[in-house]
Amino acid sequence: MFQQILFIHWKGIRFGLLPLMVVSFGLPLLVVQGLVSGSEDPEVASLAATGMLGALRAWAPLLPLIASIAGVTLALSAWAWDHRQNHVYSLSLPFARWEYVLLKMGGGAVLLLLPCIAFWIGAVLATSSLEIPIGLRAYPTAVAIRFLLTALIIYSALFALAAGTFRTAIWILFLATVLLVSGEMIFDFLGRTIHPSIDGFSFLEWALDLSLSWPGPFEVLTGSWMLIDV
Amino acid sequence: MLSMKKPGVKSMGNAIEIRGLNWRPGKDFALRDLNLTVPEGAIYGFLGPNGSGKTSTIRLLMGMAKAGSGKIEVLGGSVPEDLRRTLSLTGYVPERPHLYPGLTVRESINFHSTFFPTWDGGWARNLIDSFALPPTAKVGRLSKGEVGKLMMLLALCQRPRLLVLDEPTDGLDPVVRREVLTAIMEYVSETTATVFISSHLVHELERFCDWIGVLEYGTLLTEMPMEAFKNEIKRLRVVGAPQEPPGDLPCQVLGRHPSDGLFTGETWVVRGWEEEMAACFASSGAVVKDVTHLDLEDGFVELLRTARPERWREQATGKEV
Repeated sequence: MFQQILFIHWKGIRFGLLPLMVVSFGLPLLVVQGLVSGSEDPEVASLAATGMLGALRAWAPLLPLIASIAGVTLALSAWAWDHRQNHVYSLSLPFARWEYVLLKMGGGAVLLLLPCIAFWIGAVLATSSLEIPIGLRAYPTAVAIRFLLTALIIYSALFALAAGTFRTAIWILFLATVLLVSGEMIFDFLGRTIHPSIDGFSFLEWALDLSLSWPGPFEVLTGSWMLIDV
Repeated sequence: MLSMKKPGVKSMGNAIEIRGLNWRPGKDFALRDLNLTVPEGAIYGFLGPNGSGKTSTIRLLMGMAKAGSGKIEVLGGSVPEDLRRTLSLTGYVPERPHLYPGLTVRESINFHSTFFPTWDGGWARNLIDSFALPPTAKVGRLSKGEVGKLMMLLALCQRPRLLVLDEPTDGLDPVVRREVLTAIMEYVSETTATVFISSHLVHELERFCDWIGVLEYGTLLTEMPMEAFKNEIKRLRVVGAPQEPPGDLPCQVLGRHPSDGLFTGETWVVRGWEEEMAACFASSGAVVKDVTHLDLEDGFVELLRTARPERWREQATGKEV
């Protein structure tokens, strides 16, 4: 059963997945292009290391972006055919709904491994092609795991959102927006009138910080994405 | 009738039992206190005009919607509590194509067969040939007739105990329609499967159903064996008809209107007519000249004709419908 669920997801996404795998594989190789390798001369090596870190830092935001795109693509494609047929087919199969959803989610997660593995191979090849300056270390596997976790988290969030109807998704997004905006307004009002001690507190920033820092669900996006670091 | 029941096969119970079902999806339409019984082994025609609630009833049967109140039992299991079991025993052909458009015919069959342990692969191969389905063609590129045949193949090759068919031949050409109906009849003739088929194509149902249920605007108007339905509603030609139906007339008058042509009396459509009831007319000075059996379509139309004014009256007086 799982094999068939996996197959139909693959069949639906294969033309989108292949370019994703190519980009995931090629991006680490692209990142290290033109980086000056180490040198015997400590001064030159130090300059090379500084230059290398600077270049990698500039490229770093692209890595979570690609991981997120992989997650979004897999999540939306998981339900695309079902949405088109109003879920009639899946609902007529002898399955508990939760079981079907789990199989679907598992199928998407397995397919998500493909761009992640492509990224890992690309990262290993990219870092091994360089002579790393003294004082620096390569982290291809660590970044690949971060890539996988990012893709999985974005995939899970979007998968859950996309599982419902378009109207449900709009409602959820609308309510989240209302919550954030009204929270911001309430705290702003409280700060200016009742509790001057909380004046300057931003609810939006707090919520963002909460989700992007440990143990927030999106913390993985904001960590180090450096293929080579100290 | 094309009905080809296995001789000697006895009905063991009810394949579908709906009791006191209420469901209201929006403001305008509701299924109201629906009671429906489909005997096991029957070919039950679920008849009703467009928008009468046939598809809604089927969606509730298949557990795709949740009833407001009432009880649904399919093959002895409650819906939605025993849904997994009932779905594994039910072959379903929905009103609109529901298959994944990017899969080929063969892939669709492989996918579907995985979920049904009773899948008959040999018959599926035969049906691919006899339906002339192109195995490597994508479902999204098939013609309407081919999709209809593929959906029927999938439903039949599960070897279900119950076939739920929601207007399976709607929009198909006569050749395809005949192929699909023949496949159903062949299956039914060799098993004790029950068929619950919804349609507004009255002649089609008349040919092979042995039970009939008529739904109009969420209410089941009648449910009975096909022969009883056809025998029950008659057209009478009455000469010297009284202003009011005779008070002791034990049958229901569905309609009366002046006859056209050479005949000078009135035409009455009645339900539950027995020959001896002619005496009731005689007592009021009227004479029943002629009694005509109505076919299913005429009976269906007359039934709706009497039901609709009642509904319109209810709506006009603001009564909940």
